[in-house]
Amino acid sequence: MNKMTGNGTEKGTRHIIEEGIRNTATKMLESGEVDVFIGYEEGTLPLRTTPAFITCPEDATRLVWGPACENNLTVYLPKFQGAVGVVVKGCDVRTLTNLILENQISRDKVKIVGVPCSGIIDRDRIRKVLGTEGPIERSMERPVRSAQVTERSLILEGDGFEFEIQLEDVLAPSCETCAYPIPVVYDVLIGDESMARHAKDSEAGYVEVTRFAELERDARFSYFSREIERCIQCYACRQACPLCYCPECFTDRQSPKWISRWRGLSDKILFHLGRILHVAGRCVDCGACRRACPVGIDLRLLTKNMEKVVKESFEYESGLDIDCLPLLAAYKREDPDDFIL
Amino acid sequence: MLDSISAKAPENWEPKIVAFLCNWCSYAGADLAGTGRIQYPPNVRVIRVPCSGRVDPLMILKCLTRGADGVLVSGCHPGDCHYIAGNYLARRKFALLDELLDFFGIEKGRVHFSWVSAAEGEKFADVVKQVTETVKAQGKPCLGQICGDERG
Amino acid sequence: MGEDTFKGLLKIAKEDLDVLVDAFAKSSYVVLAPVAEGEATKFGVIGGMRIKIPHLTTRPVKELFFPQNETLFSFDCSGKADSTIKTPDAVTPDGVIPDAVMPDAVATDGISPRVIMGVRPCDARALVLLDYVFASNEYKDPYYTIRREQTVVITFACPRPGIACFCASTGGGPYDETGSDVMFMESDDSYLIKVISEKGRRLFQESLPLLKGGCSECPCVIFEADDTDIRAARDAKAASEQLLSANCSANVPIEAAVDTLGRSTGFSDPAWEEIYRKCLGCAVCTYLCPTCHCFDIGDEETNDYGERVRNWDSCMFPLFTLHASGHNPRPSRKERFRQRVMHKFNYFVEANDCIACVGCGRCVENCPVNLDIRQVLSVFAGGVFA
Repeated sequence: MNKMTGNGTEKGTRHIIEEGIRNTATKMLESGEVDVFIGYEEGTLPLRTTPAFITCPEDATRLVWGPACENNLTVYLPKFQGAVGVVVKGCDVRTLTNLILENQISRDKVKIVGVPCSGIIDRDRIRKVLGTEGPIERSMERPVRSAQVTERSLILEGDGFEFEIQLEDVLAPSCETCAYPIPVVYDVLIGDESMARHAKDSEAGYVEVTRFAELERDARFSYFSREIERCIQCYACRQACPLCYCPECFTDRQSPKWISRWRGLSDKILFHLGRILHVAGRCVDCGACRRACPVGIDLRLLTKNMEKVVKESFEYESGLDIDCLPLLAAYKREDPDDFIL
Repeated sequence: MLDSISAKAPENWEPKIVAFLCNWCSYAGADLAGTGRIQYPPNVRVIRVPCSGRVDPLMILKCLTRGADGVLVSGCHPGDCHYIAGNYLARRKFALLDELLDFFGIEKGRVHFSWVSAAEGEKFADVVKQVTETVKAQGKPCLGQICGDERG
Repeated sequence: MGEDTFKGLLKIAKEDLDVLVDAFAKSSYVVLAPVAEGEATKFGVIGGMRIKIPHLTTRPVKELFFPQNETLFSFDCSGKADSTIKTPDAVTPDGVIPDAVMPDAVATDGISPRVIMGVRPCDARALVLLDYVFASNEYKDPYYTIRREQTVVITFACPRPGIACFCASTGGGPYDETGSDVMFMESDDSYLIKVISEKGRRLFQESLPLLKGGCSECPCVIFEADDTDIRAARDAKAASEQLLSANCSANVPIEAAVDTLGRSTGFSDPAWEEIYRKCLGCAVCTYLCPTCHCFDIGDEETNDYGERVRNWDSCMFPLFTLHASGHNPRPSRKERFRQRVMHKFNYFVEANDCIACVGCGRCVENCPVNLDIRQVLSVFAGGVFA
């Protein structure tokens, strides 16, 4: 079976965290502190884990931890009845903070089990590395038949090849420049802060954005249009986003009907720009939307740019503070107004 | 369809501009411009809204994707909002929209924001002139046609 | 199938594939094959590009017959147009009817025949399932039917089924011929070609004389397969089937699951309460499914012009069943998830006597939360997922 939990070395960091998660879940469920504990368990494919909803303490042994724990589990919280424990990474907890801030879940109903994060892997990147530097042709999909995680690398096996990739080379782009690998809010922190990835200065995340902004306007428009053009409107990005919890999305509204039945490029642009505006000042760059997309659309530049604008214009960073007003529910007299005629 | 990005507008092109005007200030300002017989370009189509805070950025995007070449949003001056802070809240949203559109590659000269009070008929006419000129200067229609989605 | 699979085969070297494609194009077929689109792959007009067959395209071949968005007809009320309802007369190669069309006006003439290369057996089999819906004796969808009639499906057998594949459990297999007009089978450096249907035969009859081989006299890139080739192909088939069955998650107890779901208790089985929980409610599984076929029809209009449009819809969306009154008979993801599984493994079975799943594994592979249909079926089969 594919072990994505990565117990490569005896009592490695991941092993300690995994044990910690299991023990915490058992304790919380036994004491009745929580009704459900949401964590990760082994998936059915290599390089995958899957969300687990644990209700019996005995089942806590199913819980795992590793660099394939990609889902942002806070997406399940807004609908939850009863008390819930949830495993969160540094980014996930910031969406949770937003959910609390926006009254989608009350702080006392959720037990936050923070994990010092060392980054998660990006499957698209793995495919690229396998294709360009590795043993298989780029156009071949599903090459990997099994995968093993060691402390620093992935060992991938496929049809006629075994290939080792350094974890560092296939981290999700948002993890590479992550400024908050340690949860900013928690009830329990598993392990200790030294187990997390080294936090980057948040400016590091804006390098790409700045470079992109220097391109010609038409080049920028073409890039985004071409990305968006292949959208199949499955709305996986919206559904995977913990902050897209509207009971009825504007795309589903019949009156006014924002998205026409023609579903042309302009409708797709309207959806994506609309969504990005709706998460502006809230998005924490957890990358869930990008990972969920079946056709690999990457609009991270847009969300990252919004983050940068919000930070520079309003000195606001999403999801760090549990006792403030959401960005767009507040104002200052001295907010920037240089764009007004 | 994306090849038409650099398409030029036909000669004597007159852009369509949608203007969202707040009921309490800018709409009255436009009225004043009218009663004062102040001339301004006929390119704007006015939509009266209760407050500039009512203007959802989606409305602006929808205009652009459905054939408008430019959009103007105008409300009360800061501090004058009939609902106390509607225009302050709007200002934050518009700041984000402005940056988003620019980064996305939609020309800066398409979407405009202004504060026009009920007493500023002259200013309203000036704003409309300025907006019409900048939209015209883009020299081509906006998103809807570029994407080839505008039909009929 | 048995031994017949390998009778009367033709053979072409892998490197000569493009020569064959040229010949198809010359005999006025439009050739479609897998093309890359960003990180994803789908079927599109290849127009001179070299053919590359991926393991499985991200997007299934169904959209070439049943496009995601399609205008059925248009209407003009301005009084200026010649007629109030417009009818188109052509289907473009990628399957889109460019203008509006009235069903009666859909005629075969003017629509160029197409060849789709590199379809996998699962996708080809899915077309036969779609035929039950769009081309049954009772109801014939003209838009779908015309595309089906004008298309030759060339399937490439799967030498190496992937980790998410489970076609054999659904009644298909890596060398299954259902829905294929021609099948290509890998054998070392060549492909063995099996012509299956009349349409396939016609394609080769028309194209072979146009083949450009080493000399100008004869089509010397296509040969008859000899015993050695056939032996190699037979071995490849056995190896492929072996590979598939060795992959334990590819052996899904579908019959037992269909049985459970078909009982009166299937719909209200307590397992539904748990199974859907991690579902996010997106449409990845339905939109990438080669057999999902639900759609929504509506009008879209501007001033005095409008079109009647048919779009894909997904049972995973709340809007799918939302009534005008505001009532929704499938209020939560539980009911919506159940609908998807029940449709495939119960309702479709009742209507057509076969399941609406071909085991391509796209929903398994692309689900953002790894909610695996194989696991779901195993639960209903009373077994444990290995």
